[in-house]
Amino acid sequence: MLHATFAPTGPHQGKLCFTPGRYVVSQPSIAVRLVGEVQVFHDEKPVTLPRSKKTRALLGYLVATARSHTRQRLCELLWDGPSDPRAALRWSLTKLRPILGERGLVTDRDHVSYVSGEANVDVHSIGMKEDPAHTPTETLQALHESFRGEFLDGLDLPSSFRYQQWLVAQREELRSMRVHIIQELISRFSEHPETALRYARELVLLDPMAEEAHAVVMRVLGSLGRTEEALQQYESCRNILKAELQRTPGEETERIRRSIFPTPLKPASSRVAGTLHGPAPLVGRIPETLELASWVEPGAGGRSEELIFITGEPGIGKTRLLAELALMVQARGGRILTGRAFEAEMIRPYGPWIDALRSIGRDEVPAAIRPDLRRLLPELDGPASDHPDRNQLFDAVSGLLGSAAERSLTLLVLDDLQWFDEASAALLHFVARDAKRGKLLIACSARSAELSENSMASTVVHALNRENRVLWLRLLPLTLDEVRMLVADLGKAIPAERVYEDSQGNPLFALEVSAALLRGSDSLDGSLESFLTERLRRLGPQAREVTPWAAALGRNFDPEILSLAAGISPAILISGLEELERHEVIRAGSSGSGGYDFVHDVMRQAAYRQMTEPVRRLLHLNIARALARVDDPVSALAGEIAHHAALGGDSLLAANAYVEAGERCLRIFAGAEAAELVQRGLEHALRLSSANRISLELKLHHIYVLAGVVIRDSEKLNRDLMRLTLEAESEGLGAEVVRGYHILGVFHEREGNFEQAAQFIMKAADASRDGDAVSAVRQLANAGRCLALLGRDIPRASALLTEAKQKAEAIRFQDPEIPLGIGLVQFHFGQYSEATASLEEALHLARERQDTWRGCICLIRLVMIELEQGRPEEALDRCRVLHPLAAKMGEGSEGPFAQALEAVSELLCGIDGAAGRVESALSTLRSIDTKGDLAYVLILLAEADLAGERPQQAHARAEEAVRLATAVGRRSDFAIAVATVARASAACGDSEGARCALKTVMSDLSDATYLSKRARESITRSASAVGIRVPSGPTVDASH
Amino acid sequence: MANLIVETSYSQPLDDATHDRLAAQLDPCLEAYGARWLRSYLSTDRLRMVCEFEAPDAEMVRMSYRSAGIDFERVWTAEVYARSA
Repeated sequence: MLHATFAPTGPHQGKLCFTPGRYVVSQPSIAVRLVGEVQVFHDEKPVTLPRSKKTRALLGYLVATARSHTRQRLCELLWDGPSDPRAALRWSLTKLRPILGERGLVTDRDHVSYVSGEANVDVHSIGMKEDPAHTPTETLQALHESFRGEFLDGLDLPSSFRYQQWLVAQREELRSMRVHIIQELISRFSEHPETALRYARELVLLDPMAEEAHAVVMRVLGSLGRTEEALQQYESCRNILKAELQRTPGEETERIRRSIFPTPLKPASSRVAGTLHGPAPLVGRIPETLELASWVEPGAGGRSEELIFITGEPGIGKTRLLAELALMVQARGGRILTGRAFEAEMIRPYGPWIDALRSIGRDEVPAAIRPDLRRLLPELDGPASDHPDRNQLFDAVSGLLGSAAERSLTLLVLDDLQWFDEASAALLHFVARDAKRGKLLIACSARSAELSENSMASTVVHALNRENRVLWLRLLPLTLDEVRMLVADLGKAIPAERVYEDSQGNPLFALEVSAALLRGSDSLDGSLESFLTERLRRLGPQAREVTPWAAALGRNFDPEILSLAAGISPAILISGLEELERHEVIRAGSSGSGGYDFVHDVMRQAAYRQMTEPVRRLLHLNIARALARVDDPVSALAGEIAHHAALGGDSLLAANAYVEAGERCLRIFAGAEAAELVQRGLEHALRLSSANRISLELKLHHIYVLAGVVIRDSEKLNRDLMRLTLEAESEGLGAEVVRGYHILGVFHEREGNFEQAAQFIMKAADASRDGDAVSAVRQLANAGRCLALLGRDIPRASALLTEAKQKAEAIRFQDPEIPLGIGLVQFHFGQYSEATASLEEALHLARERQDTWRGCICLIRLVMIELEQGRPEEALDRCRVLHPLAAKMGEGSEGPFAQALEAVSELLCGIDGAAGRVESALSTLRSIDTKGDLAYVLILLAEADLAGERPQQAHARAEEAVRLATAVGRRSDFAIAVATVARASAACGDSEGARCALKTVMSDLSDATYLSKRARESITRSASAVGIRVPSGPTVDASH
Repeated sequence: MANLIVETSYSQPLDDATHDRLAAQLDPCLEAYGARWLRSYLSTDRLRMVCEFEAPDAEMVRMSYRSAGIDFERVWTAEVYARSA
């Protein structure tokens, strides 16, 4: 164990001892294990940690990160739901302070941090500073031993997605480190095949898709002469690669396989583990049983509370006591309706209620309430009510239970209340208050520590308790005598004291310890989970194949879904399920739907924790995709698909499923759940490509607005909706534009901004009507802008843009493409002030739509306008705005062209060092092959050379520009380059050459629109310089 | 005319419908800028694509992509080396 010391200053910690000169408080040495189950040791003794899972998760997060966090950030991380997250955080910190010490846990009004000081934290020690290849073998082995399980094992919190993402990333990092260490150990032990094999097998378990790990196992098994196992390994590798990566094993794996003599495979022999059979006996619990009997007994003397509530730690016997209660009710001819919440089903609103109500026959449902119940139980015949609300639904459920109880004594059992969703808890409150104490009995159970983390369920229970409607039974551990009775029933001499000591009176734990002792196991580390893990390890191969899938599916699972997801053959599936049932890992589901339940959620957790993160992800992904293939007209499975797809890393499937699940929540009036689903869905939508992202973000925001929850930051929501709608416009997603304006309308109506709401609704109507018109405008504008940017067919560009502008104005649609195109045409005609105004307008619209590219084009053209007007200082000002925008464009010409224009502007301003920057910019433009931009810059430089009386340099640059402009068909730049060559030639004394050059472009002057105004002026200026008469013809016509 | 290579990658596998939509957006822009698509290679996991074009320069292809609103990772001019027949 790794230990070090530091001295927390808590008032009650440590003892006084003398050191020379003064008394000091001696503090315990503190060690924290975060790999595997979280443990804290004071002076090597384990400290009892808070039961609250979130508090332990907070401990793990603070210690692992060991830096300062704002309280706000921690609240968002773990307590996004409760009404007072800061209070929940304060409570948790109070619990952690004595564990981590005053010096370890440092808090102020806004910040919380963990300072490790001299405390020993395993993940900090594991963090390797050296390459495994240069680490001594003993150190590597010690590091390898530090990996006792997953990081923060058992502290997954799928509903706190920010924390969960951090957790998964940390696990990934540690896993990668572990893989490197094992790979190095395998190579170090290549001369000791048995040891290398152990490490190689571990590597396969860590990453089943790592083909090289399978190959190592095969090679080592082959070298040990265990050919059958080697070939089994090959089969397993081949199946995994085929199923997950759609490929076959590589050459190296095939080579190893061929080197091993193939022998036919025999089925692996099944080993039967020693287990206890038959239902667990009810031992002790006499006072509680008497209370139950009194509660069930009607009439005088019986208890009058509407609801019985059993709490206690996992495995203490809550479900067993509920079963005893059910037997009492059945003995009186009563019926039992059972529903249970599951941790993964926090997103299946009313899940426990739906399961319970389905036990009532369809023909027993009174016709009057059928329409209202159909939203919850879609299998009921007849139409659903048109305008129901939540109260109507609650009334209908209460009415159904009342009518069932009129016929016979009815016990409604709701198990694991700590995992109830908000809607289920609200319905429980309603039903319990509405129930007339008589033939309807309600019994609930919950894990006491975790109930406090579910604010809604906890509030409901405490509210009913204050109204004296609850008979609360708190189950304590069994006494030694009771444990003696428990083990005596097992029929063999089991040392009860040992069982009592190991299990601390927890009956489930006691039974597992007894079973282990019966099997002869004596070396388990003492946790309930280690006993369960050992039991799972002893299962036969078919059961072991089925178990991970079942554990990933949840406590309650459908074998058909399992078969679909896992692709396991029916024969193996049946045999695996039978074996799991025989060994009391699972049992047939209570709802009678043909499904199975794990005998206890602790068992499922043990099975789940045996898997590494990549394996879990793979399983969840396959489950999500299998569920998505199931015919599900009422979206009842959407929440589960979203859950598994999120854990499996398929963001597109997850985001779509969150939308579907959110819409279903709205249909059944589960607003809080819908809002929760939206937050989770947005996390996934943001990872998608633009069209998918915009559509899904809008759909999720729509659900949020309709959920009826308090909107925390309405300004941000308004901004997000506007941004998305404009993005949808930019992308030409007509239907999404309509949706965006529609949601904005609904949102503003809810906020009481009726005038704005009306405007948005009108815009939605316009957008809907003009969907085709918008597309037409966009096409016209795009075609016009393209031509204008290239400087080709300017009359056509102008006509297209004019038409686009008129149509856009008619439907009140704005597109940056239109003013951009018009600005480019005006630029062509040398109307610089008009072009500046148009380009500024386009820039504004592009910014609104976060259209970086069009923004860049506008700014580049504005820089060009300044340069062409001989204003390099103003051009430099524009460049400063352009610079950061162009940097966002990634690889492209915008950044290099902007830098070239900036360097030329600096050169024209006479700034030192500009010449060097110009050459460097030219070199970059050449390397990225952007001929048109390069030609433009070379012309500017050649003109500057002429002004600076460097005609030869001007000539060389202009000649290069001629070649470049020709290659890309830039007419105006070609003409200017030729005119500049002519002037340079004349300046060098070659008048004949100048005239020859000019003649090639003189004829182009006859068409007023063919060349830009600047090109025409350049030709005219050169012609007069070399003495050529310019033919009279049309003057530059700037109108368009 | 130069040979141009465009490299693109996708966060989600590129499905056929998205591919068709992108192609429909890009084709008119390529035509306007004088670029011609020659062929594409889509990775089997559909997360990466390399496209080959013929165009006056790399910028014409970049402008086509930008105009169509399609992201790319890099565009470069290439010399073709091929086995002689």
